[in-house]
Amino acid sequence: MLELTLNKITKKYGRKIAVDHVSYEFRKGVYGLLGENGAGKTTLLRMICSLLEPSDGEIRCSGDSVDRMGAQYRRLLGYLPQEFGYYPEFTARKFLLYMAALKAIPKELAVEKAEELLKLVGLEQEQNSRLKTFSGGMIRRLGIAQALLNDPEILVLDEPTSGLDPKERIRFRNIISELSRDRIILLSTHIVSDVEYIADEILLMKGGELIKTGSMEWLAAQVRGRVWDCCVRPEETENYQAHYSVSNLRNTDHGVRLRIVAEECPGPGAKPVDPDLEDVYLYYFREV
Amino acid sequence: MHDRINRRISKSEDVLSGLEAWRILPEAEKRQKAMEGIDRKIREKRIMYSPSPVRLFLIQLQYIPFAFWLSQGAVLVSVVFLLCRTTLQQGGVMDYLWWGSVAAAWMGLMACGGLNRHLARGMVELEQSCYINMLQLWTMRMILSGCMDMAILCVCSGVAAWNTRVRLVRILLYLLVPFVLSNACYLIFLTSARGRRTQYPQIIIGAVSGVMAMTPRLFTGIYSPDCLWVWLILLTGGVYLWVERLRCCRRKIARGEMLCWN
Repeated sequence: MLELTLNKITKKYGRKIAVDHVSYEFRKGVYGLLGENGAGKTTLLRMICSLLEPSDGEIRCSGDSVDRMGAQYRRLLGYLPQEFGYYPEFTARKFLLYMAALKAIPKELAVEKAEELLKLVGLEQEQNSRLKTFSGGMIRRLGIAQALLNDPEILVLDEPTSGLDPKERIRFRNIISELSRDRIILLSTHIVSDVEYIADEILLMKGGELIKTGSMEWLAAQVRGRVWDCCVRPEETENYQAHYSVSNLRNTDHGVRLRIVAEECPGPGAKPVDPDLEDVYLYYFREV
Repeated sequence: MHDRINRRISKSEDVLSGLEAWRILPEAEKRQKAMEGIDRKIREKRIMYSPSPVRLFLIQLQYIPFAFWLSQGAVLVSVVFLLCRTTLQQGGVMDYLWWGSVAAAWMGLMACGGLNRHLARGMVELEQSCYINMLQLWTMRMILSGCMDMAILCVCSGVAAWNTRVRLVRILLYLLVPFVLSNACYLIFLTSARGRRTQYPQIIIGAVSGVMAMTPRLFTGIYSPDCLWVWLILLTGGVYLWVERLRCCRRKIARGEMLCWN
């Protein structure tokens, strides 16, 4: 069975430690990597894709060092970077055929795969249009398509849904869910809903470290009893926001409904509620 | 004798039947499970296609942008035009060298300039993650453009040598120095300047290289046989710098420094 093992992976830039001794073992399934800006998510993903050399530690794929595997490891990978460039003069179809050539996919299979994936991401009609005419969302969808060209066993997606509208985001989620049966999918995102329903494991990253890992249910259980729902007067809202982490604020006829993440009950009338992933995120990444 | 042979045969038969009795027969169930396991492993194996070096070059050729061919074509046409013009005017070696040096400097720049396209378009990160990665792409591109440029330089040198009776090796040396030095200058820019690289710095480097390529004319006798050692030192230094910059480039790509800007 395919396993991807991170063993004390570290990346330093001078004195700054971007990734700090991260160890984890990935098996088949969807892993959601959540963290705030600068947490080290992209750096970690780049090291997994062997784009960045770790300062320390090693990454192994089914027991073999990925450094030593080299091109054979890259064969197993599908990668969508956070910042995704393109050649503007290429058409969507040509771009996919170009990426297929780089992934050493035979021409006949590449043509077939390109057509299939363009249809999957909803770019079939625009396949002969030049990429310079594409919107950001279309480019992103094309990026997802190129990541799937070689039917990768390890799919690494860095902010895959940025720029996508809700319908496209749902379509993307469904694609990922379908694919997750027999591969490792690693998804880094700020959009909690991207992973809330499909991830088997959530990895919370802060300051270069994995601070918490577990299933959605387990993580929610850690935060149970720390998420409150209360209704306050409008003039009190600012005070609550200043003292607590407010995950949701809604004006109602009876006042302002606040969803608060706090260790103790924030006030009279506050009721504990079941936490969701956003609450979990807020709990671990709130400013103390 | 006959009896002895018969006794030997029956002895071997006894041995064989004895071995038969000792033979370990596999259990049908375990055998079935083992065969299923082997079958599953065979089905799990992916048939990998590995393109040949020729196929890799053809892939490169197929996806090289039209602008590259246009620029190479423009250089070729210009060189042919100037070569014919100088030949018709029965020019001396200096007449060939003044435009030849500038052309060589520009060719060196264009050879490396094509590499910047991957960086300028933000494609390096994606390309480096593929089976055929950036290092291989760049190597193939440099070999391709290097061979084309060397062929043009050799033809120029050959024609100039034929018409002026100056040794081919000398003229080639005079043209190789600006070619190698402009290559090296561009690689210095590529490895030192961070951030998105646009066309403008390349044009500036090209202009500077072109002007620098014309400066030897300011020194009287620089193209004489007595000063060949100067050109040899310049060529050696240029090649050393170029190789050193290439190695730096390679190291930076391997470590990811040139790929990932944020």
